[in-house]
Amino acid sequence: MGPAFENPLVINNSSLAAILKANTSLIASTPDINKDMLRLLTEIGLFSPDMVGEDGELSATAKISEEYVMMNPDGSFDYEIVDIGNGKGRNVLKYDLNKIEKKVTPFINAEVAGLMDSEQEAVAAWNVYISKDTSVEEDAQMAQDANAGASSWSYEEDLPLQQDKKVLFESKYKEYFMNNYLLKFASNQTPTVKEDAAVFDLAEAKKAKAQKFLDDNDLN
Amino acid sequence: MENKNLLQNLYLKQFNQSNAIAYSEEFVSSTSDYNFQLLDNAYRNTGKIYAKIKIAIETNKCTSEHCALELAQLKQLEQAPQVSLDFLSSIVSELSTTEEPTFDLNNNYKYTAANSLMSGRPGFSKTDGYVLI
Repeated sequence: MGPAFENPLVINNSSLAAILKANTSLIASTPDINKDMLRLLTEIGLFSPDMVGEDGELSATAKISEEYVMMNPDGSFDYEIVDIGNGKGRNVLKYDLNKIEKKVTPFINAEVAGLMDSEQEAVAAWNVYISKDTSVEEDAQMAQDANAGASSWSYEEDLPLQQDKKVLFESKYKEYFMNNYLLKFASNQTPTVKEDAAVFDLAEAKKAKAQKFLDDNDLN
Repeated sequence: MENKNLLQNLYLKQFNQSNAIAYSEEFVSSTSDYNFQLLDNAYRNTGKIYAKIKIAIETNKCTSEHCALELAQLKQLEQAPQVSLDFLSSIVSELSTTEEPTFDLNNNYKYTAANSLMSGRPGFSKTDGYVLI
């Protein structure tokens, strides 16, 4: 007891022993979300096994498998054109995000189910990362880690977690994983076909695209 | 609604990390007593009780048949220091969670304060008004 305590903190020996014996703790530890999500990336089946390094993490050059890239009816890649300035552009791969989401959802659900084995850690993860969707990198750049603030869950009042909170956690966990980990592999990806990766003149590309549309639809 | 744990934990975290107290002339010039004598207080008078039971057994003046009660009490007293040390070790280990970089500030702030107290941080001494029993 003392000035920092509104009322004395009492910890009973046998209660503490019982808590520890049940593999729980007085204070919730925040799970290493970064480590969990980097591991999850290698398990969701979007990347070929040769893209996983010896450290068990994806290599820096890892790319999502081509079966998740959007294709034209003729089997060629369907690119998005990015304006890089000075009238120039380049192609980037377009990914089938619905297909990706369908593929990863069961893995994320299994991950969340595992996390829910220790609900207090799920609460900690919610309060520190998931609720406000702040990444580990973003937190590292702030003087004080972002915190759920008003949307935080209380250990005293919200445990055990009600079903609606579990559902919300699962949905936000997926959002967090997609936004902070997975989608960076689905944006600004250069084409795998060498000649499609070159920088080109935007005006000419627009003209060629219009011509292709006319050709495809027999409008010449 | 005001989140008391969040505010108090933030304050304690910033207080400990800022080292602000090191720049307080008043704090630096005064003595701080960190000797809470936790075990001394817990085992005060235990020696007398132990001796009393031991004598009762040796002189066959026990209150229970075959000194069963006295022997059990003696065993309990002999094991008590180790039990206390194990208890303190568990508490210190539990409280160290509050120092993790990703510690959730929504945890009970009293544990953060208790960790400062147990680890003898500046500003958490007997002189500053803290008591450990």
